[in-house]
Amino acid sequence: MRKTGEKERNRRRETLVTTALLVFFLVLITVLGVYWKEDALLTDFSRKNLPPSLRYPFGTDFMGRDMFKRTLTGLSMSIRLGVVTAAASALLAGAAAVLAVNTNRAVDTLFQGCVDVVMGIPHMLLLILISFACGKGFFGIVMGITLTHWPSLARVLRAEALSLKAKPYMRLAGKLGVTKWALIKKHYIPHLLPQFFTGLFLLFPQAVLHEAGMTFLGFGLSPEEPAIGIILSESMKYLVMGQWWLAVFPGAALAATVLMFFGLGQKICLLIDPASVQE
Amino acid sequence: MELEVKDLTFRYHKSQPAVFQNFYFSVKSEERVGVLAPSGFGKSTFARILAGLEEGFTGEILLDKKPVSSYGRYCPVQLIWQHPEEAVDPRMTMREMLAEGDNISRDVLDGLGIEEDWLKRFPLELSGGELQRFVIARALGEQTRFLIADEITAMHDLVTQSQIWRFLIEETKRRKIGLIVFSHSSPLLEQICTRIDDWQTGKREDVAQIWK
Repeated sequence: MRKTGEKERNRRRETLVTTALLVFFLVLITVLGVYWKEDALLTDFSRKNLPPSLRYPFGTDFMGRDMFKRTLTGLSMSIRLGVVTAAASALLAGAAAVLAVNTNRAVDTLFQGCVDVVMGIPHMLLLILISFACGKGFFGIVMGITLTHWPSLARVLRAEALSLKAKPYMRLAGKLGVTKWALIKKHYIPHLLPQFFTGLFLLFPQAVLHEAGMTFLGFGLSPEEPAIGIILSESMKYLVMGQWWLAVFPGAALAATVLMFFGLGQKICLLIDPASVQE
Repeated sequence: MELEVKDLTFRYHKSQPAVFQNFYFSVKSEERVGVLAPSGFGKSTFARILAGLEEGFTGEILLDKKPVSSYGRYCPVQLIWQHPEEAVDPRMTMREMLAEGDNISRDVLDGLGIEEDWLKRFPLELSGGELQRFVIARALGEQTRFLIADEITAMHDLVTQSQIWRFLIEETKRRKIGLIVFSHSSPLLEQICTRIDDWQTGKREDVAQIWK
């Protein structure tokens, strides 16, 4: 008995350490990216098209810009965008789901209709349309990703809220004089929070990848910004000339960041769920 | 005060036969009515209808000739849910849940043997019996006029059962709360109630009371 107890405690510590490390790396990338923003834009034709070396780990591009700093700045932008958009769309999903369950049938029907419409249109198409309509750039991307990524999470949260609504203690609370707003605040939100965070962290990778994809296609951030999508689309022209480092390192860094977010999401789910938190 | 059910018809689904058809029932504040019926007779359904937890019935539930629903947010007819673990939010402490409802006097908590220490715990940290006492206490808010007990002491040992009933009888007498007890155990009802409605035989009888 005692042995398994110790083993379980270790797993909890392991999870905490991994979570802390992942958060540290993501914050480090974000901060370094902001710190090196000027350097990333710096052109120096005396060092152009250099392959990776100790001094320039990711090489330099045709304008002699340091690709390492440029990649970090791009990632930093991606992370910040990912945080903003994932949070915004998760909040939208949560609010919509709670409202749909706690108002009347008409609101619920409207909600379901919106979910079906948004989910029915291909993501990328809707993203491009919304981003374009909102004037592209940072704002366009935020709006695009926020307005297209909420339905799947909202659907899960609505189902959860519906099952919660049918629970005896929820109905009894109503008869004990608890107002609708207090019911939402004290009963619905605590119960929906684990699902909400799971959804939030699963949204990050999607948001980051979609941002890169949109920017790559030219519907996202403006070409002067050192964003991963811009870097990758610029590198297309130089790949055939053998400058592989222009695409491989930023691409791998993007994949690594997305995986870090994904891992972080899984660890946080373990920590939030009361059934696994003590493991 | 008087709690009346007039012309109640209820079915769970349109295609199903009615659980209640043109049913009448009434209780006065000073009464303790026992409803005796075997399983499947609709005791729990009726208890939920009385407490306003069931929708889709026809007929009226009146408290002093006014619909129960017109009495404000706190329902004066309170139901003690049969399974206490279903009646509490697993993510709230006992104290938080008590604070949500109506004012509960210290005497109620003491009378039911609820210890101060339990209040800071979550439902999972209490036993079924302890939870049950808590659920009973929560239903005894200051504005409660009628209390419905749906098979509430089945999970307790005899000593605890008698302690809980003794308290409930005293409390309802003192505060003039009408008590409606649903059970399939005739000896229990005979000890507690002033009137027993036997749904199986359709008889209604007044009982000699042991605890006057």
